[in-house]
Amino acid sequence: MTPGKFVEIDHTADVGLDLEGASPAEVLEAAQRGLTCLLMADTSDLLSDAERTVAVTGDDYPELLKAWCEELYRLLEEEGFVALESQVSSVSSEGCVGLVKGVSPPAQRLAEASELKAVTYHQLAFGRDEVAGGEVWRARVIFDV
Amino acid sequence: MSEIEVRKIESYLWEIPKTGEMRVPGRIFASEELMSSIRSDQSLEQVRNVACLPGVVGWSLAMPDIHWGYGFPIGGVAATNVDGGAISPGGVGYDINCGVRLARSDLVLADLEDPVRRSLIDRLYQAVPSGVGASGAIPKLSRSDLERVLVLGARWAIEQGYGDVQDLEHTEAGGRLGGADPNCVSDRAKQRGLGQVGTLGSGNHFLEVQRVSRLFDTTMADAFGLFPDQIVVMIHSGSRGLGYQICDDALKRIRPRLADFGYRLPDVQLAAAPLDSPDGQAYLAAMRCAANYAWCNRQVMLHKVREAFQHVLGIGAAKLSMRLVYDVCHNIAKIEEHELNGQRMSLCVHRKGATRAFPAGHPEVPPAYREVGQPVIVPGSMGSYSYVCAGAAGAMEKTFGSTCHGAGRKMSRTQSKKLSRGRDLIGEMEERGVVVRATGMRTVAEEMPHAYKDVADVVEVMEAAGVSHRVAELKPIGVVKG
Repeated sequence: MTPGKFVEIDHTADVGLDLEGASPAEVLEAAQRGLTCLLMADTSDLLSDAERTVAVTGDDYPELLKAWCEELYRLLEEEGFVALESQVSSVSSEGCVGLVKGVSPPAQRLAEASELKAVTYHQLAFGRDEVAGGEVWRARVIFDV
Repeated sequence: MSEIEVRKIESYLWEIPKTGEMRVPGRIFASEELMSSIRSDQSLEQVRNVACLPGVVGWSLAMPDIHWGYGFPIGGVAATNVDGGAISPGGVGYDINCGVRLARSDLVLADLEDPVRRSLIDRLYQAVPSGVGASGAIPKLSRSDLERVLVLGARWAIEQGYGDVQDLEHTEAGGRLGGADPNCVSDRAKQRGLGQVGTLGSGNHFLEVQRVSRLFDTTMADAFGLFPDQIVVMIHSGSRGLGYQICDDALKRIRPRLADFGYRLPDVQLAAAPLDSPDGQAYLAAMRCAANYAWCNRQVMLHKVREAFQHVLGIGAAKLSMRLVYDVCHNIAKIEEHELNGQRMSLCVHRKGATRAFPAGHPEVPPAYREVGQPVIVPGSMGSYSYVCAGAAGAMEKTFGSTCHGAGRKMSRTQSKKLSRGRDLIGEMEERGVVVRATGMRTVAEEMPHAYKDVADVVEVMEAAGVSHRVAELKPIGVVKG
């Protein structure tokens, strides 16, 4: 299966991601990779040695995406845990569960991470589009930094 | 490129006519050149959207440093009627009471020649933690101490010995907003706030050692205690994770209730509640807690800065004479009295990326500055220069007592990083005469001077509009970045 994709959005003050995947799970996994890229830039020196189960809820898909990103950032801010890969095992418009693999790097390396003030509602979107031969799931999320 | 219709109505003032769902016109303070940059993103659409807020009066305003934010533009000001109007968490932003403080000293540039300067910047970098989830500037607060911080603001820091009482006199609102209720702050927000007092953060937050490079008004400069070649310190930070969480909690609570309030808003991030509703009052009480936390945060950082200077230079507090010139917030909603169309009104003034700029004679201006106007601190981009201004009479007539808050970005972070790729950024800053210590090069790349408008153009517009008056220019010699 082709993994979901993320593209960093040009936003004057903040940063954001356009996400695309064949399923909601792929979009959330792409969001994890995109967010880690925004926060840590280069992670090629980091190897996963621990995992966390992340379960979040939301009233709809956009809320779910926001909650997922918030929880991934909480792991970084509170536990110093950098998410390097994720696998979303169950997802609906009301909740998702994913296994996140990553590492807690030394404090000096962690200090290089960018701080996120918030996952905003501005232009927040997550939904399905019909395309030739099937469907694609697309999302947009903007972060206040 | 924005397609919003904008017409020039004065030399530095533009208007978006009231159309559709707009309740008031939009007004933008800008030169021709700045307007061309402003048109390049979606900030004018955001000025128009803010004009749709229930209870908004006068105009949806934009300062010349306006740029695309989320919901409100950054550099936006909107006043809503306390009687029946709305309060919008998005109109304050996530970093509640993000602000700037400027402290003066008796030192001059010659006192900080290398290697003293480098030692000082290293010491400051160690003394004021920065970066993601930074903590440890002072011992982690107990829950009861945190609740006192939320109520007392900078006064709590003074009570603990982090500064002296004169600092409070030179802090907007005395460093404490009344009506703060810790019961309206979530456990998650409190948890995030326990260890972060005295920390800088990341992004555009900074701590700079600067010299007074130019005086525009010697009388005002004298009143502010500034003189040529003097060493001053500028701190830019806010309410850290606690404030971010309070904003997010409020948006989550208010967003599903918009229909109950009868509100139709063009952007969910503008979510608002009637000021006199339980939701509006709960947000206001929590926002005030975050504002108080931010003032306490900047107060503790100033104390750490004073300690660092004394340690590196081997001098005492008296010889350093580092006194607070002023502390201003630029992300806030405050209940203020203003006159509009000849009528005295009690308004909720939202300033998101805008600074209060009360003129001479205003009762809220500290006695020491009452004859010249409130100091307004306007930071420029890292490595360029910043300004000290003073509020002028036009601010009360045109901007609900507000002015600009900084240079304003003209380039996205992504573009700035691309332009910075492969360059020796720290070396470039050294060539400009600025020593930089940063936790991560990514932030430096995003915050390079090429990403910002020229702050000189921004303050010039507000001076020409009679809103604020230039007093002094400050050039950095050392920067600590998160």
